[in-house]
Amino acid sequence: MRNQYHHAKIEEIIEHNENTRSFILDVNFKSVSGQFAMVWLPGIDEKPFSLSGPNMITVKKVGPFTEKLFEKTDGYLDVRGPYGNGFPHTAKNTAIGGGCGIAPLIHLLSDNFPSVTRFVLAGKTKSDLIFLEKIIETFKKSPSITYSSENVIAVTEDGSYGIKGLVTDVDIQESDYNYFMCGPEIMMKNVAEKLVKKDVNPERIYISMERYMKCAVGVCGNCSFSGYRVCADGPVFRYDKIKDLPHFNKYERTRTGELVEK
Amino acid sequence: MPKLNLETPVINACGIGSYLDVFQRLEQMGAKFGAWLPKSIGPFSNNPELREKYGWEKEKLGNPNPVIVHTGSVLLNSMALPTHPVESWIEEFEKTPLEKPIIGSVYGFKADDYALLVDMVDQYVNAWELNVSCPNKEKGEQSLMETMTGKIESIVKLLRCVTDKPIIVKLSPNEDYAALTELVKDHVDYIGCGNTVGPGLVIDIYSKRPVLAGVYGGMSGPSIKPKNMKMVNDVYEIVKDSDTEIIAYGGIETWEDIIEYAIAGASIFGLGTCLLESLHDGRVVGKSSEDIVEFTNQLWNDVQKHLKKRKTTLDKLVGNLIK
Repeated sequence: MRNQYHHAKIEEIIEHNENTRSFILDVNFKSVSGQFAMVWLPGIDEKPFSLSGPNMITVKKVGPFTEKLFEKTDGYLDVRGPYGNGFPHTAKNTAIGGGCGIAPLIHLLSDNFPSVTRFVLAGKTKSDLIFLEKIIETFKKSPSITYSSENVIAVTEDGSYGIKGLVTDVDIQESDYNYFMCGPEIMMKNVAEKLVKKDVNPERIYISMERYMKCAVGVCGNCSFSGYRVCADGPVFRYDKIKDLPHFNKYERTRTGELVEK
Repeated sequence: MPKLNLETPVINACGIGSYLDVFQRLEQMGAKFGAWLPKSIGPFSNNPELREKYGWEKEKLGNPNPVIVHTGSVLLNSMALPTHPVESWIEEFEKTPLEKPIIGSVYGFKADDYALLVDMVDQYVNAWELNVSCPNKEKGEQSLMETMTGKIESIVKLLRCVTDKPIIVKLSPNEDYAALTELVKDHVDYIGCGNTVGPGLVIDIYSKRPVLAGVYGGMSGPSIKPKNMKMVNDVYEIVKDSDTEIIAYGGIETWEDIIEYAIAGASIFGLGTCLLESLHDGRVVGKSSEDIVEFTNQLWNDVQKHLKKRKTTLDKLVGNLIK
């Protein structure tokens, strides 16, 4: 019997900006948007990454592991997954992504039908708006989605593209459908609170969480978030179920399992 | 001798779920566990005075990832006891009340470590499981299984003076558990049978490296059940005329496994790998909390259904093996 890793060939690398890259692999994870995979660099470490497509991971260089990962310009990656629940299979959703958090939402475009009809992308500057062209192109091509400045909304802190400010400054139109979010926890919390103030039902807001992950299969408990194990109960949570949890936007567990303030 | 009084004789194995918030969630959702067993507390402290006095460190990182690997037939883990300071544990105990009894797990590098930690944390737990048999280690370390074998008797005798609470000693199926049982049976309330098997080795054929960062890993899951079943029965033969009972660990997935372990001699049953789910495409993933609740309720219902049908109880079945 073989172990759980796919020894997957790197077919293409997309350079989004200096610090963000996507690796397209010759593997089909048959994943859904919001699921993740563990990427192992033998002799170094193993970390979770969102799947930005059934054969794609998107990586932001943030530390020693991702620096090593960026040294990979061809060859193979050892990956296991997909893990986690993913966003629900509903049509006509609004996707809200901050920085690298845009990545798992891009998976919505490669699902059987593009299940996102409005995309809000936010970043510090224009180059943080990864996949912007892909989103515009997909919207323009799709017979079921209208492309307009109301349906693809870009926000940058420095105003280098789209609206200048934070994603919370955007007046996100209400809809009868779901809101899918991924990005910094504080951003997701603030946007969700703003939506709820506009009478959006919290049950229609879905948030993708991140915690220090070890086993990725629900046994070790290290990624627990007020008792939910992000790898097995998440990473996607319905906002009404987590909004009042003590760990939300406040606490996380470190590599030793210690609960510390974020 | 003090005993655990469990509503349901089913617990989690040490290192499964691990943290109090995880247990609190499962408890509130109605998971059928009779007690909770958090991850092992070890000789690590935030307090510089304690560190100075006892030679403790602040924390232990454990191995980097990968810490687990599933081969399709067996799960191996090599966490190597990541441990945060005992003060953080105490804070977590105070902030996270649980209804069900808590079995504290403790380890140390010398007998005094066990005694000091048990004394510091005793008020927050209902029983103690002594971890003296973990087979995992970080590179350059020795495992507890390697260092503790000769010290187990003195540790349990010492702890008897520190706590009035039930004491479980969890032994390894890889060591001379029969001899160890003889030494400790009159000083403990339960023998845990047993820790993970092995350790074993899984090699990545492409990089020619071990998959586990800790090289070797303790094996668990249904394929080790016969090994630990024999351990339960061997230990039962030694303790059957005493008050000492047996906690079975190793590959429990179905009601039949619980009945089988009872017949071998166990009266409490620890779950671990059954919290994994094997999918049709060969992937092994974690059960969601809802699925754990449903699984454990179904498991216990099935045990009771069987007992009712056979007009018996688990107590009556313990050690009924006809050889």
